[in-house]
Amino acid sequence: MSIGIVENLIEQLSKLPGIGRKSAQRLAFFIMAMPDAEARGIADAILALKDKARFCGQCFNICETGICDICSDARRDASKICVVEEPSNLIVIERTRSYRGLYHVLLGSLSPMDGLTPERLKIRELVTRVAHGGTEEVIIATNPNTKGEATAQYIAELLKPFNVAVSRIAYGLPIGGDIEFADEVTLAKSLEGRRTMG
Amino acid sequence: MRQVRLDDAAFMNQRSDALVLKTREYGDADLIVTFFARELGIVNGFAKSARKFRSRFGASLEPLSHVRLTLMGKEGAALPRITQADIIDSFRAIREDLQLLLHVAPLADFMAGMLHEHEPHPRRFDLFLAALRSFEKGAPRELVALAFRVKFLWMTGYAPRTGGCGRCGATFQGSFALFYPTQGTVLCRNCAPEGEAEAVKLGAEAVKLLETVKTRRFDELAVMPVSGEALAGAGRVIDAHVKRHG
Ligand SMILES: [Zn+2]
Ligand SMILES: [Zn+2]
Repeated sequence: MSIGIVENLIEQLSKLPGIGRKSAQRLAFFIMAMPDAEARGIADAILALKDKARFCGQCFNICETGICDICSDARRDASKICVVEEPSNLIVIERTRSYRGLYHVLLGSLSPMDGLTPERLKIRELVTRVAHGGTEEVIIATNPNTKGEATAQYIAELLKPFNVAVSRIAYGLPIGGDIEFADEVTLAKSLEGRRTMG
Repeated sequence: MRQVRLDDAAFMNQRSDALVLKTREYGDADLIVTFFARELGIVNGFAKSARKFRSRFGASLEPLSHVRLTLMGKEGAALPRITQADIIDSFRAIREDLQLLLHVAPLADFMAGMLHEHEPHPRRFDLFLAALRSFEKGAPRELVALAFRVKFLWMTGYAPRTGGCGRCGATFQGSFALFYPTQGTVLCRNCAPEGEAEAVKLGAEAVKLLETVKTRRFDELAVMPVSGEALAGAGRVIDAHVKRHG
């Protein structure tokens, strides 16, 4: 066994977000102990992703063709666009099965404390999509934090000239929790977002 | 919960009022947070699982939150763990107004650029807090921003001299003064260096404004009538000065 090979893998793995040297080391030793086929499976999956996967030309979801499955599905409601920060957010919303419209993935969020730099994100592409017509509602589902809120406000402002309804997903208390443990900001936001019953 | 050995002197709790300046995402759900803590200065802390919806930190680690902070770690640790952050003042009125937030963020940057890690500056902390309160109450943004920068420079000893000539002491006369960024001061006609092109012209009202903001409280300034021209002129002087000496 050459230590250089292991060392190289550790170094490669620690390039991944959230993987420090220690975790990378653990993963490398784990892969060492894996059956050949499984380890090859991981390596092949990475290569296949890089060879075949790309961002959808319309919504920037990940797909294997030029246009993703959601965008090309005629049964989806094309009058609605749900704006999310990352492809992983889209997957979570899809899992709820309560949304049948289209998406737009920004590939990040604005960071007002570091200067906005909106050109990093797919915001211009969203505006172009809306400008083409056919959209009635844009639902902004960015994260309920400062970055997500800033991104939402920035987009809402840009979409003002168009005849579309712009909405923001509701802030609420976590299900299963006890109000006693909610912090004042979360509680204030859920009071603001209350709705009438019955 | 991790067991903490209280008899282990190497581990210690540090408590302070603190303002959240920045957050950086780390790993799946953690945050690294930069605070300006009243008793600790600029410090970074590690908040485990802070991005989970049921995190006990809730909204307390959002930028500009004023919190009662508890850090735990070995003495001098680069990244102590944030064990508690209770909101004193969330400043959500600032955070949720993008235009206002974009106005305040550069001030936080300006301030952080002039502070060093682990150097407490309670008066500067109180000043920033007072400015945030003023912004939250809807005080005129440009004026509060200018006053904050001038007061802060004054506290750090880097204030530009605008009250009179920095060389001969001559008091201000006439309709405008000339500020020389390279010298950090206004100079009278007699003392002005020959052919220096980069002097910033400063009208009489702007000169007065730069003096006034040093001594008045934010709430006093908020009700003071100030022309946009004076504000812009005074702002240009501070910009030029900070660019040169900041
Ligand atoms: Zn698509
Ligand atoms: Zn002079």
